[in-house]
Amino acid sequence: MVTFRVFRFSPEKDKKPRYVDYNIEDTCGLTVLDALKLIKTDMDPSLSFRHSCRSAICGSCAVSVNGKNMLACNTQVDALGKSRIVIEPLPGYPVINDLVVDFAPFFGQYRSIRPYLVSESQPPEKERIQSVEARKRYDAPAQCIMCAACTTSCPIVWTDDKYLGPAALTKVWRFVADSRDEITDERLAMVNNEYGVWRCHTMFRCAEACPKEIDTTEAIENLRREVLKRAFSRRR
Amino acid sequence: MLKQSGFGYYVRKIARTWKETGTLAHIVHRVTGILLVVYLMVHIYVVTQASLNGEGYESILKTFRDPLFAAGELIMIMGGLVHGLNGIRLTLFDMGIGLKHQKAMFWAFMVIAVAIWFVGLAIVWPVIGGG
Amino acid sequence: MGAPTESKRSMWLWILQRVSGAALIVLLLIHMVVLHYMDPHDAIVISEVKIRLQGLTFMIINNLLLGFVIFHAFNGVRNVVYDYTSDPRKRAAVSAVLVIIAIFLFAFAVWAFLPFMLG
Ligand code: HEM
Ligand code: SF4
Ligand code: FES
Repeated sequence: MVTFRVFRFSPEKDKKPRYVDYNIEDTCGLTVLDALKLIKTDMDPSLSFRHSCRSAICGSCAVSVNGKNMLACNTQVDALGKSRIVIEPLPGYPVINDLVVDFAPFFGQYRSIRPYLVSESQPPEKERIQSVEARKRYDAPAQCIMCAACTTSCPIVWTDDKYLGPAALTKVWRFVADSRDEITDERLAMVNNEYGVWRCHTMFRCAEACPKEIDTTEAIENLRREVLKRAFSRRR
Repeated sequence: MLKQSGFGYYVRKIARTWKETGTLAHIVHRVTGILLVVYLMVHIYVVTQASLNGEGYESILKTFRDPLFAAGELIMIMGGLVHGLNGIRLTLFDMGIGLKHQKAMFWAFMVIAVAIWFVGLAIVWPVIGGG
Repeated sequence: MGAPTESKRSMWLWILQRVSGAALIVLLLIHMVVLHYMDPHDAIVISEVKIRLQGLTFMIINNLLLGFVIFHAFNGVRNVVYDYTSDPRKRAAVSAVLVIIAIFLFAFAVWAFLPFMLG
C-alpha cells in the first residue's frame, strides 16, 4: 500500500494549504498521474491537476513529487520505492487550485525571448533546410516540452520574479545555436543583463529536473560563453 | 491564488532539498562566502590596529592566542578552503569543463580542502600547540 | 531588457568575480606563507610584521590582495542581494551603499598601512 500525501488548496475555502492522505492498495504499473486520476475518480472528485497526453509530450502534468519536479505521467509509483509519496504543485509560481499553478510568468518570459526562428532572407520554396550535422548542436534543447519543471526548480526564480529562468534561457540557446537564425546579436543582448545568464549559480537543479534530459545548465553556460565570445571579438 | 515565492518560501523550500549535491555546494559556497566577508571586516580592523594603535594591537593579539580564538581561526581557514575550492569548481564549469561530473567534482574538491587544512595544521601546530 | 551600459556592467562584474577569485588563490597563499609560516617559531610582533611588509614587492602584493578581496567580497554580497530582490530601485540602492562601504574600507586600510609601507 502506498500513501499519497497530496497538497490541497482551494482559494474559495482555504487560507492555507492542507495535506490530505489517500491510500492506494495496489500501485503495480501505476504512474503518479494514474494514481492522481484514481484518487479523483474513486476518492475525491474535487482534486484538481493538469494533464493531457499521458505520454510525456504535452508538458502539462509536471508536479513536485517528494520535493523534486517531474512529469506525473512518466514517473512510475513503484520506481520511487517509497510507501509515502508527497505530491505538491510546482514550486515558485502561484497556486490556482490544488496542483494547478499559474503559468503566466512562465509564458510571459517565454514570449519575451522571441521563441521562433527569425530570418530576413526570402523563404525557399519548401523549407529552410538544416543539415543533420548542424542540427546536432541543438538537438537536445529542441526537445523541450515547456513543462516548467526546470524553471520552477530554480531557487533564484522563487525570489527574483524577473529572472528569465532555465527554460527561457535554454530556448534562447536553441536559436543562438541554430545556423539559420539571423538575430543572434539581439538574442545575446536579451540574456546579457542582471535578469539573464549572469544570475545563474550553477546549482544543476534545472538539468536534474528536466524530464527530457536536456542539460539546461550546460545551455546557460554555453550562452554565457557565446556572449563573452561576441563581446570580445567585437572589440578588435 | 496562493503565493509561492519570497525569501521565507525560498528558505523553507531549499532546506527540504539541501541534500542535492549541486544545491548543497551552492548553500555551502554562499554561507562560507558571507562568513568570510564578516571575517574580512574583523581582520582589517584588527590588523590596522597594528599601525594605528600599537598597544591595542598587542592586547588584541593576546586575546587571539586564546585557544578559543585559535580554533575560530582554524574554522575560518577551513571555510576559506571550501569556498575557494568550490569557487574553482564553479569557474571550471563556466569554462565548459566538468559539467557532466559536477557531483564527483564537489566531493573531490572537498577532500582536497580537508587535506590542505590538515597539512596547514601540521605546519602551525608547533606554534599554537606550544602556546 | 537592459540598456547596453547595464549589460556591459553585469557582464564585467561577473567576469571580475571569477578573475578576482582566481587571483585570490595566489595572493592569499602568498599572504599566509609570508605572514604566518615563514618563521612560525616566533610569535607575531609588530616590528617583524613591519619589516615583512616593507619592500616594493610586498607593497604591491598587499595592495592587490586588499583590492581584489574587497571587490570580490562586496560584489559577492551584491550578488546575494540581487538574487533575493528583483526590484531595480532596491538593487540600485544596495549597490550604492556597498560601493561606498567598499571604497571607504579600501581607503581606510591603505591609509592605516601607509606608515608601514613607507617604512
Ligand atoms: C580563495 C579563492 C576564492 C575563490 C576561487 C572564490 C570564488 C568565487 C566564485 C567563483 C564566486 C561566484 C559564485 C557564484 O556566482 O555562484 C564567489 C562568490 C563569493 N565569494 Fe568567493 N572566492 C574566493 C575567496 C573569497 C573570499 C576570501 C571571500 C570573502 C572575503 C569571498 C566571498 C564571496 C562571496 C560573499 C560570494 C558570493 C556568494 C554567492 O554568490 O553565493 N570569496 N567566490
Ligand atoms: S527544458 Fe526540460 S524541464 Fe525545462 S521546460 Fe523544457 S522539457 Fe521541461
Ligand atoms: S500528461 Fe502530457 S506530459 Fe504528462
